[in-house]
Amino acid sequence: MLRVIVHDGADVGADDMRAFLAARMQLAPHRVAVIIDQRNIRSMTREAQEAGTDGADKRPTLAVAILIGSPIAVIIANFFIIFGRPHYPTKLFTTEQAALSWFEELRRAEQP
Amino acid sequence: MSGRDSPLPAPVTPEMHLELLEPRVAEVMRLILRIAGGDFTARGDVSSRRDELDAIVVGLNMLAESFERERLARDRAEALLADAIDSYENAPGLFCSVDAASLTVVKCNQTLADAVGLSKLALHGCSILDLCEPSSRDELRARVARARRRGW
Repeated sequence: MLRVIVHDGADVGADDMRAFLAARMQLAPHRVAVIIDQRNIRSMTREAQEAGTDGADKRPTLAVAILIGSPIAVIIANFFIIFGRPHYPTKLFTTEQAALSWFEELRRAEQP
Repeated sequence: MSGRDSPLPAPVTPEMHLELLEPRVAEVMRLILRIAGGDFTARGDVSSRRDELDAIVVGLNMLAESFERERLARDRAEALLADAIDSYENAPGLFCSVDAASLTVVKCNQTLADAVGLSKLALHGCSILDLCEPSSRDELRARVARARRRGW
């Protein structure tokens, strides 16, 4: 599992997203579950979100769990799901424990 | 309606309304007004509070950015289409689209119209057999028949 923590007060732009994706492929080039803690994010551009979904087929992903807390995080996450239409299962959670339980469910469902 | 109409109140401009609001709400309203008016470059500032009002600003910023990117993409697509049409119309070659069953012209470029001395409208519906050399007609028929058999 890959855990991503967005800095407190971060304004995420397209370059930040590209840098993250490059780092992600170095750290976890294989199929992986990703948990994104964006509870303290301040803003994100649509260009950044589009960069996040561009070429997603080349980044094998089991699922993405987005941790939300603030109203801003909820808005950004919903934009990502509605307009970005990720090709992998994506859900919002308010606690990491719930996200990990979901990953476990998915992992069990994949086993023959 | 009976009796005398009461006098209309003085018109209230949006700015006057906004002055009655809490400053942060007024800022959000101004942002909405700009975006609703087609200014998709408008962006609002997110405060350090990161509360519901800031969430609305973040959402509006992303919506405006989406509209702006779509507008730019549409402008680029229209420019590409205009280039493609220009390339077809003014190509040095004589281009026409032909109905394979009737061998009549469905569409042609300006170069062809100029070459035969007719308008594009006049050429519409003409048989291409009338536009080519009589000695080439059999070959043309054979090629069209072969294309129809192959599907291209």
